[in-house]
Amino acid sequence: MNDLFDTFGLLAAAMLDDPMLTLANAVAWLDPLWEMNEGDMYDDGDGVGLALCITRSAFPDIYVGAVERIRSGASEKELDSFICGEISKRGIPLDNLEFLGYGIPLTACGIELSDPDLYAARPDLLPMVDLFGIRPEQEHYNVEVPDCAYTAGRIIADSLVQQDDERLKQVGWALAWLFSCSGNTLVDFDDESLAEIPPLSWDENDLAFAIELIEEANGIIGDVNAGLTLLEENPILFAVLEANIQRTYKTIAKQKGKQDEPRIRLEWPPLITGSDGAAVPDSELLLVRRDAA
Amino acid sequence: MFDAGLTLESLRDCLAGLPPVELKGMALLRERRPHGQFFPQLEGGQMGIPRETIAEAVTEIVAYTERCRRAAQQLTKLTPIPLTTFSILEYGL
Repeated sequence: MNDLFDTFGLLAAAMLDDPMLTLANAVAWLDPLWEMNEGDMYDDGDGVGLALCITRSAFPDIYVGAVERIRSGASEKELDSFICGEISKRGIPLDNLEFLGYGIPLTACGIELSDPDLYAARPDLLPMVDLFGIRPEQEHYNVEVPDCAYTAGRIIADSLVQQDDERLKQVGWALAWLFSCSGNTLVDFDDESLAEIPPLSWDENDLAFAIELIEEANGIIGDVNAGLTLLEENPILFAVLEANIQRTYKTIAKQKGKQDEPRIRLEWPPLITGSDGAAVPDSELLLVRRDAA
Repeated sequence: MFDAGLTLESLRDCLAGLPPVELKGMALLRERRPHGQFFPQLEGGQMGIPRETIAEAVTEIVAYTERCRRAAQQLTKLTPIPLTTFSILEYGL
């Protein structure tokens, strides 16, 4: 064995006999970036540095992985890819480290019914919104949405998501998305609305909340897509929906501006085609909550 | 503080008598340091340290660093105490 090598081992072992040097070594080993300042990284536009500061407190195991890669000479691009991939695995989809500095990145899936661009991007929604009297016209900057559309949409969505048949629930979630009343911010808000809310920080509570929010939104959006497809493919259900919308509109009209909660009897058909037997052709008497959204 | 009977000397003795901090990372370093190297590998190393254990050790060290930083900040805000009976010969004028 090389004498010089022995000296190295002797020194390393001796350092571990002293508590303060052991602590210094442990910090150098596990937390070599302990002096990094998040504010400085943000000011310098150092995306990787900022990501390391954030992972250091929010995802210590990702931080460890990044530190190990820095020690092995990983490039900035490799670090970027590693950190984004690992954070995405924890339930926060992330494509680029540059978004980290603005808090937890959240993607809004909601829509604004009065926005004409919506119908250019999603012409498949036109038959459905037409049932509610929403008819976009070309060359108009704003789409007129009847006053009672949101109330009716919420009542019908509420009724559908309470059905036993999973597919009727999916149609209900489609309506809840359409009328921004699912109760999940990411499903109900569009980009513009979400931008007005202060972003979630990377602290433990906000992180847990964001993961739950995103997971729930993904589940709802899956149901929304399934519900829209079902409506497209099932003319009977579409016709029943139309009838229930008209019934709801009439009931709301009878209210004549009263603030009482309308009682509406809505009936939904059993979905025989492809049914797993879960459908119940029942009717229900709903006490509609005004604050259901 | 000093009115309560705590003298400068007793404070010094009290602080000097504190046991050294012992963090998980320090124990891990003692147990797993490979021969001829300062540190064990954090990932994919032959020392086989579970990822959760490493994460716990890092979390503890990060928290300890933060506590130290806050303590240092608080110390900087203490009102200065004139030490009239203590002479520092190196700076004697």
